[in-house]
Amino acid sequence: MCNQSVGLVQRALDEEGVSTMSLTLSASITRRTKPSRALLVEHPFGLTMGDLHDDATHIAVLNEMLTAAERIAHAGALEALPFEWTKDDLRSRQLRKEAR
Amino acid sequence: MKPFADVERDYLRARAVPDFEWETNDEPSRVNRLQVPVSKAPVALVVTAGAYIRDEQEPFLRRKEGDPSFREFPRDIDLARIALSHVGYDTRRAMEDVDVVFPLRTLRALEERGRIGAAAPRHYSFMGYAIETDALRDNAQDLAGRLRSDHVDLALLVPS
Repeated sequence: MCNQSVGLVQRALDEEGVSTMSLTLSASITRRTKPSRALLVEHPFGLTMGDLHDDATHIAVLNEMLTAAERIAHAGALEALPFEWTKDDLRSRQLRKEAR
Repeated sequence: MKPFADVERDYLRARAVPDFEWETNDEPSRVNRLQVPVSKAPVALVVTAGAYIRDEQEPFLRRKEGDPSFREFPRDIDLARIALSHVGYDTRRAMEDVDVVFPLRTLRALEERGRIGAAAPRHYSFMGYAIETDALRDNAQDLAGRLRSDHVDLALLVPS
């Protein structure tokens, strides 16, 4: 649901002339909402930027957003970022609604 | 594997909103290109973590319809004062390091490095579980006005 809400808020900001870039944790939801520009990060829900206190990954993810904000001009762009969650199976269980 | 949009839709229908359906748009919204390089841009965060300032702001409503409102945070807020109220994810993890869902510490670090022009004076959190999407859009329009009055060049949106 968060991913639809981000997309709807982003669309409203886009329509008001604000430059935006978003992350999404679910490509299948963002393909429906269709905000202007989004980046898929396959981290667990509730750990969007990466693991707790993993500052290097948090900075890397935000850096990707900034770079993409300068680079992407195509409306509807949805690009996957090269981050993987290998610590445990939390994201996989969340995708089956077996974990929050 | 079933797409997550279908898994989540079925879950919401069974638990909270029997007629739930995703909003679907045929066309993407427009891209507003940056007017200045990122290194000169004031940047604001707009997250859906359900963040609020403890003992100062109301927590988000935990009800079946969700809550379409948002909270505002000054850029220099003590991060220890940020609490999380969200029905959609386990907030106990993020309470140990709120930067995972509301990366204000990281944004400040990027300002110090000169990667962005500035962290904007104000940042925002919704609670992403919001069934009342018309109200969500109305509130987002209000938010756009605040971003404009702060001369924000780029809004970064982060879900949870």
